[in-house]
Amino acid sequence: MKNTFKAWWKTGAMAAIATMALVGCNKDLPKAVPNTPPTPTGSSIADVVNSTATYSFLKAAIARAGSGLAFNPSDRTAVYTFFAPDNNAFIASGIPSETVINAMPAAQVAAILNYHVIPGIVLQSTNMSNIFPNQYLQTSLVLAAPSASLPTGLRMSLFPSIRGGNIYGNNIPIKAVDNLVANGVMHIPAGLIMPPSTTVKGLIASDTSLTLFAAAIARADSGQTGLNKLDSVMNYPAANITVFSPKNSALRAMFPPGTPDATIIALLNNPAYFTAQTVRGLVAYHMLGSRAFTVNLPATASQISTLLTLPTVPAGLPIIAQWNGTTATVKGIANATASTVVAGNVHGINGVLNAIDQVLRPQ
Amino acid sequence: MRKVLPLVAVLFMANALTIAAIAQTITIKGTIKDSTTKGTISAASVVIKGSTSGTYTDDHGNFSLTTKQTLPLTLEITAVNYDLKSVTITSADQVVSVELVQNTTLGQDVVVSATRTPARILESPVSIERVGNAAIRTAASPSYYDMITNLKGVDVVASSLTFKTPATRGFNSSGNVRVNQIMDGMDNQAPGLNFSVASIIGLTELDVDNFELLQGASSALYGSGGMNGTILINGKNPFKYQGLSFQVKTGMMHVDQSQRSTSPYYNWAVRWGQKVSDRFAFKIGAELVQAKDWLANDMRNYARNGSTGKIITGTRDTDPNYDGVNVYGDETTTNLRSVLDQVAAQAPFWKDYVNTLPSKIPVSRTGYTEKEVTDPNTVNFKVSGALHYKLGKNVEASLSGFWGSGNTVYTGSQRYSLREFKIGQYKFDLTGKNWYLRAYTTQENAGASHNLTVTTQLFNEAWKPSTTWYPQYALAYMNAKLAGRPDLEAHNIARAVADQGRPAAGSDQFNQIFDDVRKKPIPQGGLLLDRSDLYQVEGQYSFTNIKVVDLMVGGNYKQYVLNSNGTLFADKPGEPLHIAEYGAYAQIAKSLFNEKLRLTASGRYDKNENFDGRFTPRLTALWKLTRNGNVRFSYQTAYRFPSNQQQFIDLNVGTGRLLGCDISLWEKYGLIENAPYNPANLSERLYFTPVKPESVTSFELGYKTLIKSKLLVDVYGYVGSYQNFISRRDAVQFSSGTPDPTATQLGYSIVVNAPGTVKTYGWGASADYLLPKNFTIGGNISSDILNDVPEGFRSFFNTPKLRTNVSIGNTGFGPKNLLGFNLVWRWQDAFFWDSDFIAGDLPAYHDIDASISVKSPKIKSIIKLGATNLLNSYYTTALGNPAMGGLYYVSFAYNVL
Repeated sequence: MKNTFKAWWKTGAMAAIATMALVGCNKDLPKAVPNTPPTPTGSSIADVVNSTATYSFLKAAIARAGSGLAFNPSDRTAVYTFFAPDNNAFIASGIPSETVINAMPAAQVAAILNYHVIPGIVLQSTNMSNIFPNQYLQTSLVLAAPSASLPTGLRMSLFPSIRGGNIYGNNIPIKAVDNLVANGVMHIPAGLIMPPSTTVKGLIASDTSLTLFAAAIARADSGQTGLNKLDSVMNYPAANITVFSPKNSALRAMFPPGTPDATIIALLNNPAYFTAQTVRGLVAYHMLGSRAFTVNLPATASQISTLLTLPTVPAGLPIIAQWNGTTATVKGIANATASTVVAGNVHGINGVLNAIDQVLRPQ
Repeated sequence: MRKVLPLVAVLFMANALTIAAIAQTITIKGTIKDSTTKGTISAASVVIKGSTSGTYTDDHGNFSLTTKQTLPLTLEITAVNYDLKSVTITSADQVVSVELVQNTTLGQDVVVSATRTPARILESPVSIERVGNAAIRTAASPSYYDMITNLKGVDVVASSLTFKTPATRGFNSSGNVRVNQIMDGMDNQAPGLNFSVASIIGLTELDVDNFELLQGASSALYGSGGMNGTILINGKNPFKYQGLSFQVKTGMMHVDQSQRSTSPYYNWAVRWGQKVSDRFAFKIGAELVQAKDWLANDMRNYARNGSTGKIITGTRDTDPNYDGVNVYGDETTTNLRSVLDQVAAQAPFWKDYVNTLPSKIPVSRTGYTEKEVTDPNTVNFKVSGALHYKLGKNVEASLSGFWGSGNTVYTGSQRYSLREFKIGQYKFDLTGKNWYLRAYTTQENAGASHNLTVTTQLFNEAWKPSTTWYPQYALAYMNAKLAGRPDLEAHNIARAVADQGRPAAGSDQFNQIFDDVRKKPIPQGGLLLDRSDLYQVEGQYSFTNIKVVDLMVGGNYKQYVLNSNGTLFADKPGEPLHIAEYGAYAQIAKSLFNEKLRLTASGRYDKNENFDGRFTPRLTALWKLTRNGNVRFSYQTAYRFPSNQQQFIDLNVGTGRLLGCDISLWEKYGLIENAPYNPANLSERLYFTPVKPESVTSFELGYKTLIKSKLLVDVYGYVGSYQNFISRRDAVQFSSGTPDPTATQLGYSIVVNAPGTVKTYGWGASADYLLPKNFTIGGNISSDILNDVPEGFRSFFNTPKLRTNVSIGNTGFGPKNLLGFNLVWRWQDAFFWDSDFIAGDLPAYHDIDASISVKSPKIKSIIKLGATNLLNSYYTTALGNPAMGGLYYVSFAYNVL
């Protein structure tokens, strides 16, 4: 009996210990679980470009740009909105062949391509702005010299917009949109969207049909310093303006017929006829604090505030602007008729220059 | 202390004068031994039958009893775990040599706490558990306090190796305020920090005679608190336990090196008890615990929203707003979008791009893990001493002091590093046959204790202010985005840029800045300047001359002095806050039907100066079915006033301000005239409402029986109903007075009574079976369930639906019964853990503790080889607390048999 009990007891005890050992193990304590960012699916920009015949010019351009590219079309994790010009877009912009591309300076090709990329965003057409002013987005293009004078982080801007069902990159129509790829979205412009290379001041200075307006700006700035000078604003790279610059002919029309330009300039500088403040007001009335390509102007004539402010109109005295699909017009509130934009969409680093055929009159 | 010295001198003089008076008497001397081992038995009781004269054997088993009684007389000799033996003395010269026979009995323990009068545990009218020092000697747990874990119906939350918090019947937390802990008659709750300190400061292991645990509501006898149990830990009287004893325990932890490299564990204790004469005895003791603590290293991501939140996916590399559970400093978060908007205001060419980004981009600062910011060495030092003097036959005076200091980690609304934390408890006690009078004080000093969250947040501000860090981050983020980097990568690039110059944990630079911050008082740093105290006097008297009923009355007065220099409470330097509380109780007992039915009724009235008085009644009935079989029924109530912190805390914890419920605090922050709003529902305004004491009413039915002296069975069931549950909720105050996103918003965590009634019910059952040859096998299972929880109510129930313990042990087997062993398996179910610090699912866990021991009766010593968490299978008892693995130790204890 004693032995039986001993045997039973031993067996029982061993079984109990074995059971405890088996059940005594705890599951591993829960660990932190990493979030997994969505894995990019589909082809990359590079895949699309390399495998599509109509992108052969672009493929060549990418190869030509080489290390000058500020974006990496084959990086599947990157995020780009790419205005990808197809062969016809190159042709439409006067680049008829890959040979021509290969003959261009690599840095120039790189600058053009970099300007076609808005990094950090997948901007589909549904998210583009359909009202004025339009979105002011930074491309991959960082201007080289004299970049020291550019504010930190300033890249060349591009202005996508949607108007009346048409989509634009600056003033260039987009003919195919929203090709979603692993590293963003591709839109096909009808032509190359050329990057700016100089400021609005530079654009005005280099246009011989705008010399009288340049003189008016100089008169407007007399006695002013720094960024209070309209000229400085037009030369400030981080500014964002539109200048409706009356052609010389428009300014001449304000004076008796045949008045020489030198006389007009002298009169502009003669306080007996024009005070500096009057001219300053007049010039400011030709400027907008946003970028308006002609296609961005309202489809129905509407008021847009200018930089001319009065104590009673702190938002800025308006002009009346319209883009009817073919022609852009602007009218001063004191003008009898609207001016026509005769040479529009000249794009600068800090603004767009639209030449008009009448002086806009605020009063 | 200076005031106490003259009193001690008086006691010594009284001692000297009385020796002459007892010279004309006989003295009986003898030795008591164990019949099996032939070792001597110390602390055996030797009493002259039919009288109250008696003594105890000393540490060599010898006794000397002086009496005026005439011969012959009979001595009754008893000792724990031995059968009683009677010896007749016929001659004064007779040398008494008695051998006691070991026994293992069940259900014969005597408990005091259930009715404040001694009673067999079988006859306790409420559920109670008791652990005696024989069990402590052979337990597998590394410290006596850890044994509470294995009692029926108990949940223990471990904040660190030495910081354990038990509770019964629900509502546990780290640093529970619903369980009273009474150590040697003193409430040992830290007056300022409000957690009970028995596990870190209190009796040394060698000085614990026994402890008792009352489950459930027990305010009727022990006052405010005790909603979820009362633990009473009783020390050894130096008249009974004499001689030098010591214990050396050395072990190792972290054997798998998963948290840190394998490290030693030391626990050294010494006690010296000396009976100088029949009237005077003293004891001194000390204990040192030193170990590399378990590390809280839950790296999971927590979506914090004030004092609520949930565990979510994400790591530092995959969530810019990562807030790791045990990572600190990353609680600082800002909406990067608002910083980007400011950047865009400076660089308008970025504005339209910034506008395409989400309106909320929460980004947290880079934190440091708990391991990097805490002192990972746990040190716990306790020292205590007592002078006992018998003023007369039945009156014993004692003066005792307990002092402890330690480093450990504690979880409150955030994790706290308790460093150089000190608590002293000093008591004067007069105990008569049927009365006692006691005065004591608790003196708290938070030392260099600091809030890890706040300290690390401010550390981050010290090496790089957020006003610099976030703009750097924003710029780098923009540049990365505009380089076409995907969002997460842009965040990580930005973090690397903003973190340039971030001191590496442990570097000189880190230590210098961190020490600087942690030593500055809140709010400039993380230091708690707590020096709060408690002063209490209490007394109890049992009327012995009333024949019809047993009547007992008692009362107490306490005064809290909250002194934190404004770092914790709303006090000011030199102007501590005072809170007075008094209470009185009475208990009446009556036996009916030939002692078959015993009824007791008790009631207690307490008044806190800041709250209305509370009356808590208790009714119990014990029906003796057989001598060893009883049915018990009780109706109990308990309540608690809001804790000192819940009344007067005024603490900026980085994520908001914890505010007490006293109206003075609402006035201080203009919350009366500009009441805050519910952040989750801005149409709800939270006006000041006085907080009421929380209360619970419970009914319990139990049955305890001992069958054939071999099987002890105890079952119980209870229902409880909680009202005016004291809780916290988040509130937001707008500088504008109305919800306005542009206005300055200030976050508060305010104390409120939860609406409605919460019900709990549960049951428990245990069986202990005595096998041949001193083997015992036992098991218990218990369940606590929360019911009728109102919608949106945060109960902090923190209790598994089911838990169980199974144990096998032997107190003496093998040659001369010198071997012993103990094996305990414990399991508890998973449940949802909720606290202000962290909320989420707590997994179920198992634990196996085991020990084997060998006794050496000659030197009254025991060698023990023990293990807790034998399989080194890590588990955690609460979210945000460390995962604990195996602790393996060997101990040698001298003069403990």
